Amino acid sequence: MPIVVNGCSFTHEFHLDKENRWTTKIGAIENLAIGGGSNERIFHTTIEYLNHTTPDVLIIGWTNPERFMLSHSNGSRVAVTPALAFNEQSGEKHDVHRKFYYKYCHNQFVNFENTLHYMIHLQEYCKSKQIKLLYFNSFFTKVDDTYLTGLARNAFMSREDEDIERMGIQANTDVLRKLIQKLDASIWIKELWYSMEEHCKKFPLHDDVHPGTEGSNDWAELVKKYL
Amino acid sequence: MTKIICVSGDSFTHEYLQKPEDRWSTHIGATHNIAMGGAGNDRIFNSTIKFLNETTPDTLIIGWSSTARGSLYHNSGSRVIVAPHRCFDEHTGEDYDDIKKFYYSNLHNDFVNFENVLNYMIFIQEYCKSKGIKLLYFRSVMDEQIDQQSLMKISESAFMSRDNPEITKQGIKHNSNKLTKLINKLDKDIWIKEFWYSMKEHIDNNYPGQMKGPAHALPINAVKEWGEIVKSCL
Repeated sequence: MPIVVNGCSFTHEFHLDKENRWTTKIGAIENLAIGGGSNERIFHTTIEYLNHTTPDVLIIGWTNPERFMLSHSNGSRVAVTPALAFNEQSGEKHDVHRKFYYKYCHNQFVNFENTLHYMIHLQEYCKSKQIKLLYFNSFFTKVDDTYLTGLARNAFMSREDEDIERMGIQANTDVLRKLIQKLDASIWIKELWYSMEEHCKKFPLHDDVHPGTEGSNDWAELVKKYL
Repeated sequence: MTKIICVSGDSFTHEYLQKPEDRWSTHIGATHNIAMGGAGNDRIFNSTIKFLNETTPDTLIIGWSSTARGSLYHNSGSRVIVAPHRCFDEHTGEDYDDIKKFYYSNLHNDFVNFENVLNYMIFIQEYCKSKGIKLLYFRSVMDEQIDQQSLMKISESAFMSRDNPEITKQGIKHNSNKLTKLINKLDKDIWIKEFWYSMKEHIDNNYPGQMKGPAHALPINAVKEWGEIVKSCL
């Protein structure tokens, strides 16, 4: 049963020996994840993979929508996070990309809305291709009304006066709510938005604050129940 | 019941310089036109998957654009069209020269954009096949040719080790093979008229000298004829 996984550092688990990673324990044959990866990267590397291989099981750990992915003019990929931007292939730091992205391009509403679209699209694709799909949330914030309204304040809208702005925030909150309603809660590990970070916090953390061996092992046991 | 026909692409599909009644998308009875003049393929792909998340059309027609173009977001939440002739905000029309300069100095790569668009084409093709959506493709201003020599040329810009000329040669060959494999996955039968057919080349060849300016003001007769060609594929 070929299992493919994608995500960020919670799926890459570069900080653990290979035999201690949850992805090894569940028998994943391919790990497309990379530490610092964004949802943009997760979506695009997943479709590239699906274009040449149809796995039996695909597991995706969605990450913090604060991150992004940019291409580099030399043809490589740059992972952009609030703290660091680095070249996926060479490891080189690209602070100029990070500064550009957060100064000109970053918008929380856009990134979260895009993430929801990626989730829905892969969900529908996998359903039609009979690929078993499992989602979890690596570590981003709890998605509740306060969070959605906060994001919607950043959406592109007319801000001519307070009433118009209030209506814009409401309309954009509804946009996000409608997208969330399209998510299939039954493909999420444990429950919709369930987070690996939350799940593993009862176990000792690794030095770099990611789940350690015990937490990762427990997560593997949980994932196995859904396979 | 009216069939849902969605068209997606750049100015060749948006046709904002034509009166609505003169547009080929109107002529074929398109119910949704999600194209945008100046759009690159990232924008075309993203707006198409967003549309498909909301609606399952009977027919989807995509005119793929120039790989010289990019797509970014603005921190105001709007989308930015990045093209060599102009970089502007889709919602406000404001020009962003800083973003354009950064994109072409630090982000743009010919190989990446071409590889990406091939992946987009394949992914949407497979999605539509599995959902029973009739899909049609054409090229608008994408000028890449797909013969071996052209693919080798595009592959020169791929990320690879350039330690010595022999390694670089192998890298170019390897990346050219990657593109060939992707091209081989494209379904030749879903292309309007013939595989890799281009609307721009069609108009250039049949209405020489009549397409004007960077905004591609299309001759009305050419657009009408294109509408007939598309109709014959529906």
